[in-house]
Amino acid sequence: MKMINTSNKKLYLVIAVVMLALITFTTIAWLSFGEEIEKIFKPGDFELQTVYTDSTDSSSITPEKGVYHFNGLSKIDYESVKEQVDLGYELPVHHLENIKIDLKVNAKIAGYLRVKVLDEWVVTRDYFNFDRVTTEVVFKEYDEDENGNIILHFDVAEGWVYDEKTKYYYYSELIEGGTTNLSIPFITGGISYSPKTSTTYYEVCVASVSSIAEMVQANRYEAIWGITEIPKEVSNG
Amino acid sequence: MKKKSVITCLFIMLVVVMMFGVYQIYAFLTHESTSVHQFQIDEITGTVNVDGAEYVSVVTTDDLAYYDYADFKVANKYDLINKMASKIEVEIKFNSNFNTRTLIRLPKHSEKIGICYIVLIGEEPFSSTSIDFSSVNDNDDFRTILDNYNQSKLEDLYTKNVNAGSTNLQTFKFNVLVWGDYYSLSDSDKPSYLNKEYDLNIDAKIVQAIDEYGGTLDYEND
Repeated sequence: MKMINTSNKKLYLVIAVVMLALITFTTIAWLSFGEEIEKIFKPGDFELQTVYTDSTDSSSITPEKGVYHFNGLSKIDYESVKEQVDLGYELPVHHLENIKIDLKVNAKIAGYLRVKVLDEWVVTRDYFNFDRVTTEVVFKEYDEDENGNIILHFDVAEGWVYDEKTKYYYYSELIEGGTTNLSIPFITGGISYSPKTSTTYYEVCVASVSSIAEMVQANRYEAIWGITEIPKEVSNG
Repeated sequence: MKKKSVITCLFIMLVVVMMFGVYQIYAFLTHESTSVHQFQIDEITGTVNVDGAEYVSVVTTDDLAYYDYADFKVANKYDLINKMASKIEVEIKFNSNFNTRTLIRLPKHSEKIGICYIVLIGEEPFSSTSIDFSSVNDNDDFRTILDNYNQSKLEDLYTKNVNAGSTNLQTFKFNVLVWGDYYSLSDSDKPSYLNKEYDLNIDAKIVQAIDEYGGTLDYEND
């Protein structure tokens, strides 16, 4: 009998504790309302694409085709064109003056944009000497005139500023975070070289154009690009 | 005999339950009439929206930007600091016909290596005058000051009673601005900082205003 009473007491105690816990838990549950919110953060980045097109027909210009200037006509590449011309083939036309370069931007975070144009101009002069032609390279770089002034060979859209020290074009506006599929006009046309001709020679000019586009997180341009501020004055040179 | 003992025990338990239940409920029963005493049990209901949508589960974003603590000491950099902040925008819409308090808890910066954050109540902006960073000498100082600011703001918020609205629907908003904190990372984590992910947990509650136990408000333990 004594063992049974002790056992019952323990049972009653357990039941009491459980009931008390249930009461407390139930009561507290409706004294407040809200949520425990969890958010996961991942670093943002940029997507940047340089798009070359011919402004006359919006056809794309691929790195394989390139854009060249040859006495007002275009070429696929200088060596192969000479060969093709000699063989009498017609060539597709992407005249330098029609070149159009846009930047396509997706930016998860705010940033700044800059572009460097890499262009090489090779002018050769073919001299007639009876039945022989002598080819001479007149110049390979076409950045300065006889007075040492920088010659810009392209028409640049509004919003870009050229920095002579770094030789980059800087887009003066901040690209906001969350930007998607933004197309920024950069070059709207080229300024062609006028090849000279005479009774003893004719010139051929071949221009090769490429570009480097960079985007940097807006608070890091000083450290990454080595400049103290983003150029703001609009200038096309 | 045993059966009688069990029944007796259950009866006693029932009485105990009723006593505790009445004691707990008493704190927020409302008195509607002097002639006929009618009591109703009130509750708080509502919705919690995070970043414009009702909160269901973990939210993810990929717009975190790392920022140097030194820039927070420069007044003219705050426009960019705000633009580069990742955000948690919380809106709580709730219904109560009794006074309430707002209880928001953020973890300490020591628990969240790799990010730093600040709480802004309502439409409060974050500007160079929000916090005095002039005493900051290193990243640890910076994180400590942010902790102190957040704690102070949230404790102050908790002390304020929110009167029951006449339309019974009230709205409370707050934002948390978050930036990546490169200098808080360990040397082994720094090389992979662009691939790291961070989580931030916020406890956001609307609670009844009257402390049922009659004691003082305790932000840490309530």
